[in-house]
Amino acid sequence: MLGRGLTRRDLIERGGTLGLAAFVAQLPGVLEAKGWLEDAYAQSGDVVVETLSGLVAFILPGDDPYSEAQGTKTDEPGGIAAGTVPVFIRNLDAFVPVAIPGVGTGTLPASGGVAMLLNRYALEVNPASGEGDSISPFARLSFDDKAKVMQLLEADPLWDDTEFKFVSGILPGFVGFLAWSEAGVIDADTREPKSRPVGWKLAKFDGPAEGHPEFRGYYRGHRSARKRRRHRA
Amino acid sequence: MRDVIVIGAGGGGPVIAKELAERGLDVLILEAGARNAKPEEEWRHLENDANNPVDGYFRFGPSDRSKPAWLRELPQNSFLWQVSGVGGTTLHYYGNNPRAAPGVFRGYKGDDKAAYDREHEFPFSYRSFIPYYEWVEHTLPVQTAAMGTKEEVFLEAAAKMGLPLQRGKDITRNAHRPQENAILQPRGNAGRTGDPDKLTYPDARGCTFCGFCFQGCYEPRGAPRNLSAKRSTDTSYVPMALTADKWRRGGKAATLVADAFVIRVDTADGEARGVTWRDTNTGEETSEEAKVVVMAGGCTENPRLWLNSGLPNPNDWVGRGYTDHHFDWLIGELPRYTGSSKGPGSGARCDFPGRGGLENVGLPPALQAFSATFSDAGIAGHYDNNVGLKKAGADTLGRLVGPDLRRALRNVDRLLNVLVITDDDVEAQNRVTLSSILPADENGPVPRVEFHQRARSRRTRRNREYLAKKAAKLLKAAGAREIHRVAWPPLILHVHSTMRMGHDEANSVLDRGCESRAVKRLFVADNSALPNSLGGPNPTLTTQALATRTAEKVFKRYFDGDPWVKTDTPVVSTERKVTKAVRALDL
Repeated sequence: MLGRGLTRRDLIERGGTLGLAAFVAQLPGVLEAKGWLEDAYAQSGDVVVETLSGLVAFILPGDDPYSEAQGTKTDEPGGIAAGTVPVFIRNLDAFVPVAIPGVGTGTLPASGGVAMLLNRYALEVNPASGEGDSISPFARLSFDDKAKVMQLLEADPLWDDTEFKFVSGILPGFVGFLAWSEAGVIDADTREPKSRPVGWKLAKFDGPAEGHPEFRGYYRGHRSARKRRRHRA
Repeated sequence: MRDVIVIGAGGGGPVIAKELAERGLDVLILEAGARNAKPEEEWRHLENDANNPVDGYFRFGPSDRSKPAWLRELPQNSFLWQVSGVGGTTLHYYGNNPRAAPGVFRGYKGDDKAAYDREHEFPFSYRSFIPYYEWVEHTLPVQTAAMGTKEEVFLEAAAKMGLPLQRGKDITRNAHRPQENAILQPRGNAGRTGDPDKLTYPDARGCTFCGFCFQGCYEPRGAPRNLSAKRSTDTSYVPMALTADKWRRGGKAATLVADAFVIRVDTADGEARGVTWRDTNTGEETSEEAKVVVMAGGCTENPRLWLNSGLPNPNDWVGRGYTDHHFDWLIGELPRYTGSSKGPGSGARCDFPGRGGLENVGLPPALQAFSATFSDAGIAGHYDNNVGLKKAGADTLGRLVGPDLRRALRNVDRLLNVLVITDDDVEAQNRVTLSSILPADENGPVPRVEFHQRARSRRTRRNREYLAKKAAKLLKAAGAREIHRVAWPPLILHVHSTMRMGHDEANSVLDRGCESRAVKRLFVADNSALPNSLGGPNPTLTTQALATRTAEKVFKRYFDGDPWVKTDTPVVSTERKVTKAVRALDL
């Protein structure tokens, strides 16, 4: 039994279909091999939120401080304003609250593991990122340095044939999916957006519709493909 | 005792269930996921609600969305896009229904014979299979796709490349064409207005060009279930199976049980005798006997169930030979409107026999963003992850992120996506086993899906590069100002051949009739039974034709029946008597 009444199996199961379950299961052993396990347990919930905010801004920058810190601030909202961070964390943990301290021996929720990896690689890419306004080394990096972190995350041979390959590959796509979707503004009761999602505005997307006047006819009048021989019907 | 138990109500299971129920057999269909009984109420035109893999209604998990999704292990950069629930992956498919390339069948004599994976061909001829194609094409029905703007742009660009227009159903040469789709084409107001008040049935019939194929089709609103535009099995074969006594003299209505996860195939004396399933809501286990058992749980779940049931695997080919069309993805930024977020998901394609094909794909913004950020080639302009690929005529290689992604998605309706669908080889190394990392879940030991992307066969990699160049050329011809090659890792979505049929006992699981060689009375009737990846065409039609053929084999081998496809006339799923039965049962 781990902290807060969670068993190791609880955590693994709640890793969910993203495949994060195996990531969570494998994490402690791999971290120990790198000498990072103690550091992982030191990640607080605030560090997780700060770090993953840095990742969301990396995928979809906007008018937020994280985008400013990485040098890609825009005049319009981005992934942070879209409400992506809490949804992202919730999905990574698949309903398990972020609770690194006290989780105890052997395993970690996926969001804590991801944040820890990003921060450790951030310190490798730029040792100066260990100090600054943010409590997350990753969130302090420039955009180009964040790209270097992603490169290390993807290329580290320690992850070969493990679920880490899956996690490092899927993270950008999953953040992109959430950031351009309605996830950050959904009303849980009605399952409808409370406001127009940022991603829809940015992409000039019309939003849900029963249909569109988009029928353009049949290509060169081609209405029915010929069959080699006709069926009796 | 049932006559037949079918495990899985996805793309293939309901086909064999309907065919055998139509012949009067007592058929039970077991589906692990949701019933999906009221799509207009249960589904939305919202991407996260539908497609989020953790808790979306089209995830792979129990119908209770507050419960965790089902576990699986992926030890590489990849994404396994399964869907549970009645309809399976046809719920999110685009209804593309091309026939397989004739070159992947036994006895093919074309000049390009050597261009195909000859070691893993279909164990019968293309000509002998055509009646089964026709039967399914008639039943669904399959129709030539109408164009939206994105199809018009794609097809005109293909013509500019010098590709001829293919007017027949059989792939014979490099060519372009509108898709043959299992979608009822627009009639009435459909496709001609955005006014929701004018888009209800019967004022609108068929595809309304809403743009949400991937979130499940319930258009036009108010239509009987069997008249929904997209012919996923929940709107076609399932309603027919459940009403077989109403529209076919001598037919017997099949029974469908959802939330029923099959955890074991029960056997005795080398024969299948029944199955045991677990109610995903209560945890209660139930066993039932049958004269024949049909596995149709998909390319990942069938091997898992086989191994969890302790069934024999004498040549070690259960789970091996996983093919996925080695996808790639190119995005063109055009200076004009394409309507990429509107209309059916894909209405146009090019075929390159012996290589594979290309098709256009329209997406709403979240899936568009995912498609641009899911890569095996690092981040465009920063690093390429040692992928060993070139741009193939594109301007960038790898995923887009940050300012580049934001810029590329500044108008989703000015994009044109091209999916590269590779004719990939059956390779033993790409496979399903049981995970040694994860603990068993409530349904038993969980699957590990292993793909060796960088070690695929030379022919597979060469085919993909050829097609990527063609895709870039097409986008240039369409007027794209910027072209991005994303270089996807395995997006395991077009899945085939993990329980493959074949003529060679050394590298196949199923015989020519799709019956297991090792366990009699046990058949497979979904994509996993396919002997190869069809030469590139989308798999559902061929799976459904093969399931129809397998239904005849079951009927003949174990119920002393006669085959019917070459002598009988199929009933169309949209026929009035089917509609009447569907309405009567409020399906």
